Order: sequence, then C-alpha cells, then structure tokens
Amino acid sequence: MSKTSAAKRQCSNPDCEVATTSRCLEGFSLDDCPHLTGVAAADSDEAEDESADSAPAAQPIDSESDDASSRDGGEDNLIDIGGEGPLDVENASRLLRRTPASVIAIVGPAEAGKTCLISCAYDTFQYGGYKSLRFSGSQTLMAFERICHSARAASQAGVPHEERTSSLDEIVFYHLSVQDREAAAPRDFLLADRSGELYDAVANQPSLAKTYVEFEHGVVVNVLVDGRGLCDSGERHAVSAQARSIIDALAASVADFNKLRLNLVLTKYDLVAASEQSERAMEDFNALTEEIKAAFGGTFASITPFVTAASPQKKGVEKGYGVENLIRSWLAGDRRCEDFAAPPVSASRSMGRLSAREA
Amino acid sequence: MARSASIIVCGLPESGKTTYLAALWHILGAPEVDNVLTLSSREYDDYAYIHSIHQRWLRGHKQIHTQALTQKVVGLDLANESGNDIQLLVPDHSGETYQALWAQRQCETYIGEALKNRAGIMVFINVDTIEQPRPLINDLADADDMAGDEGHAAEKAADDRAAADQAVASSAAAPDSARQGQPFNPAEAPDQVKLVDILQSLRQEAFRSNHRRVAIILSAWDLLAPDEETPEAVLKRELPLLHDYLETGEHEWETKVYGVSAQGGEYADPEKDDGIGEDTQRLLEMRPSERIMIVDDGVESRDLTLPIAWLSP
Repeated sequence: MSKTSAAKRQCSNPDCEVATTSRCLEGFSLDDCPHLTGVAAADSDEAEDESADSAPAAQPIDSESDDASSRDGGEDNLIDIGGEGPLDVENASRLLRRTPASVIAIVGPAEAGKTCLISCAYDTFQYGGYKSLRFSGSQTLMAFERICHSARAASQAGVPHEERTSSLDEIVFYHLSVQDREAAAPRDFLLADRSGELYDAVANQPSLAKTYVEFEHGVVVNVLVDGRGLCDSGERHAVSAQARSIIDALAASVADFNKLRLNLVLTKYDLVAASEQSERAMEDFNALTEEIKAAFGGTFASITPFVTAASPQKKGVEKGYGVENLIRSWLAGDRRCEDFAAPPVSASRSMGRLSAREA
Repeated sequence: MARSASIIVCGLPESGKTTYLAALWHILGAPEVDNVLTLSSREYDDYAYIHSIHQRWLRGHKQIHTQALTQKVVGLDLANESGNDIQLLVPDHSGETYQALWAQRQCETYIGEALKNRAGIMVFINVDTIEQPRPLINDLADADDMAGDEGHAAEKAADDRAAADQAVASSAAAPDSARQGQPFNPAEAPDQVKLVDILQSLRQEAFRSNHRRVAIILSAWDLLAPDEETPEAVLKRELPLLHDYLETGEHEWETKVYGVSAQGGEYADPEKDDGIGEDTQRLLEMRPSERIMIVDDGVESRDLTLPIAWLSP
C-alpha cells in the first residue's frame, strides 16, 4: 500500500505510527487491524463518492476539506448528514451510481393516490405487514415519514389523505430497498413521484413523455385508476379516458417501450367496495384493462391489473390492501438503472453489466 | 499498556443507557457475580461520574436526565478471561444527541469523532415505551363502532354505503377542510425508524469505522418478562422495520440482541418528593446485584459485561 494511502489512515493506539510508517505496531496487515480508522487514498475516491451519495438530498460531506463539518452560515462544530427530503434527479443519479436500482413510475392524474401508494408501500413494513417482503433500508426515511404523517392518528386530520405533490417539485424519488423472503439479496427501488398535473400534460402532449426520466429509465409504469372516480356516475368515463390517454402517450413516444411493463392499478378500493356502484365500478375497471390489453398487448412487455387500498377512509378493507402484490410485481425482472445521465440500457445489456459488477 | 477501545452507548431519550452503566459498575465490583470481563486496574483516573450514577442506582433513584451539552465518559480498565487488558471508554451521550441526528440531520463534531473511533455500538431500546404509529383509519373505525347499533346491522350497512358515496363526493368537494391537522414533527416519528436511520447514518464517511458489531439492548426487559420469547423474537414482533433492516441488506452490520433489566423495577424520583413506592422498597430490600438480569442467547445471568465482551476487539 502506498504511503500516500497509508497517510490517510489513523490508529486508535497512540503508540502506533502507521500514518507515517505504513506499519501496524501490533503486526496486523493494514486491512486486518481492528484499530485503524479513516480510509486510504486508494479507497477515498470511492469513499468520497459514497459520502456524497449517502447524503443524497443535502450538501455532501467532504472528509478532505477543513469545511467538512461546516454548515451554511459558518458554524463549524456541526456535521450535517443530509437526507431531509426525497431525492431530486441529481441526487437520485448519485445514489444510482453507487447502488443501481429499478426505477418505478407511478403515474396518474391529481388525487388518484400516487403519494398515498408510495407512503403505504413503505409504511406497511413498520407493522410487519408483508408476508413475503422484508425492509432492507432507505435513504429517504425522513421523506417517507413526512408523507405518511397525514394518514396517521398523530396528524389529527379529519380523514386520511395524501399531501399533494406540487408541480413545482418536478419529480422526486423515494428510495426503498426490499428483500423477498425467498431471495438472497435485497433489491433497490426508486419510486418516482410527480404531480398529477404533469401527467395530465403528457396526455395532452405525448412527446413530453420522452423528457420524463421515470419513463426513459423505468422498468414498470403503474398507471393509477381512481376508484373514487369510478364510483361517481359523472366521473367514471372521464377517469377511464384519462388513464387511456396517458397510456396512449406512453405507447406513442417512449423509446424501447417493449421492455416497459405496465400495471393498471385501481386505487381506493375501500370506497369502491362500500359504494352502491361497486359492481359497476369493477366492471368499468375490468373493461378498461381488457381494452388496454387489446390495444397495446404487443407494445408493453406485460399489462397487469391490480386492486389496492393504500389508505382506506372506510373500514372493511385493510390498510395496504393489494400493495404487497404490487410490490412483488416490481420485484419480477431484474433490470436496474445505474445513472440517469447515461442512455437507457437495453434489457440484455443491463443484465450483462450487472453480472460484471457482481463478479 | 492496555489497548484502548471506545464503545458507543447509543439510544433515544429514556432508553436506559445511564442506568445500564450504573448497574454495570455495580456488578464489576460485586464478588457474587461471575463476569466475563473484570476490572483489572484503576488506570483510568476519573470515576466521579460513574460513582454519582452508581450512588443513585443503589438508592433506587431514577437517573438524572443526561444533558445534551455535557460529555460524560465512563472509563473502565477491564481484562477478559484470557487476561488481555483493554481500557474501555464509554461516552454517555444524551438521548437528545441521537434524536438530533435524526430530526435535525446533524450532530456535534466531537460526537462524530467518537462515533468514528468506535470499537462497537450498543443500541438501547426501552421495550416498555415502544409505540407503533396508529393509522388514522383506526380512530375513524373506532368512532364508527361506538356510534353503531348491533340490532340494526342491515340499516347500518345501507347507511355505510351511502356514507361511502358521500365520502366520495365530500372528499373531492371539500379537501381542505378534511385535511386540517397537525404538521409533521420529525420527533414524533417511530423509534424504530429513527434507529434504522441512525445506523444507516453511521455508514457515512464522517462516522465510518472498521468495526461492524452492534449490540441491541432491549432495556426494561423485566417489564416484558416473556417466559418463552427470546430478545430476538421480541425485536421482530415489536420493531419489525428495525429487525428486517438488521437481518437483510448489504449494510454488513453484525448484530446480537440482549434483553436487559438494569433496575429490576420502578425507581423513585426524588425530584418529585413522592417517597419510596412499594416496588422500589422491594428492590431496596434485596441484594443490589439481584435487581439485574441479562438474557443472552436464551441464557439468563447478571453479567452485564457480556455485550461489551462481544463488542470488544
């Protein structure tokens, strides 16, 4: 190991001079000595990347800098660890370079339940609510907690609801690492959350879909169909038409869409189940599913319906109904994104890269 | 000269860290307790803090809340069964330190240095105060149950359907009024979320150490007193998110779970002048070391040095 490398190491034993001699006082190799702290220069490039990556939503920590512990405003006795919120595109890319992940697009008009679904996917782990899935970590825990708040008793809200994603946020990502109980290793996901107005815009201008990173790099697109709207006689046809318009736009404009899987996700099933129009609403959803399959069966890699109730407002349907099945669909297949800045990789090339990385 | 190693005692407020240290000091000096680690010398020359918390423990007094701005270090000169000496330094950081790591996403530099120079971590969790976040729908369902009448089930079912349709209309028509409530407060996040986040943060460059061992200490174990359940089973049941995180993932933490009762019961709070309660009186009448219990791999003992022995390099 070079002296340059060793110079960055320190030892908790005050008598050891490894920093200058490159030799462990107790005769351990530098890789084995349990008293060494800090990292070698040969490692530090990766470590610096990781220090940037592991605090994706805030200023990266640079251990080489005298200002490493400084906060904005000049206080120099505090270390910031970042992670206050969800990831923007830049910070999501940083995370991907360190940890390739599958990008999951969750698409639908405003109030369809996108953020609710995202919060439920995470929150159910807190109760051990999944039979086949285990939580493996998240770099956006604070962000998840924030969006879960409005569905908890602590919020003292009148009804469970989702906080609306502002269109000014463009797109944000929530990181979730999940392991199938039968699998050897966890899988990382970036759940994309964009305001419904921006997906309405795609329906109106299909070419916009090419600029949406969650379509360009996504493995699964989940198009949400608002169960509340299907129960409403005045809204039901518009709800189906909206979903169809978005799918039309995706099919027309997104490159390599034949490797994109499409999930049609009925939301707010608690309201559907309790409604006098329950049967009609389910018929509408099933009809929409068949229509999409007939029109785009050869376009998407698969088209699958799901029924969910992420945050029920009425009892009778358990919280998180159907969400485990949905997450399991995300686990199927193994394509991952390694960098938003890189062109999307085809399925076969992606598997080849992952194999090389794992070797 | 003994090797020096630092064990971080970590946990949220009121998780039992200081009580453990006080009880640990006691059993190190108790001849009736067989310990894996024993006191080998008094080379560390500052026992004021450990003596003060030990005295409170002996008297059956609750520990004074560790203040955030003070840095107390417990120094222990120990030897293991092979006769190897080690000087353990145990910074007794306040629970607010770790609360701030979660809520404000920052910590003091000296805390960061201590975390980085660690030989191991003990994470304390008070099993008596664990609360899962309660879904709002549960409160609404309970309200419905209280208002319902079992003798009119069919009428109620019809009313439910109509109410659901009304909810469909009203949630769209008056979203703002339905959404009023308290703003999100990070401090109110579930403990297991905070602990996962703290452990994830310890893998950042600012805190990274070569040492990967984490001892999970479920404190107030006597209040659970599960006859059959192991500490691991309790962790899985009560803190599934944390349990999953420790079991899975590529974080490389090596963990062990202990159940610890360092008090044996309820202690008096002399600040409140309530006198000595019945439970405290019971504890004061027994040999102090008999208040202590630790469960490790299904075996009960009083040896509070077991987690330290496992963590020590």
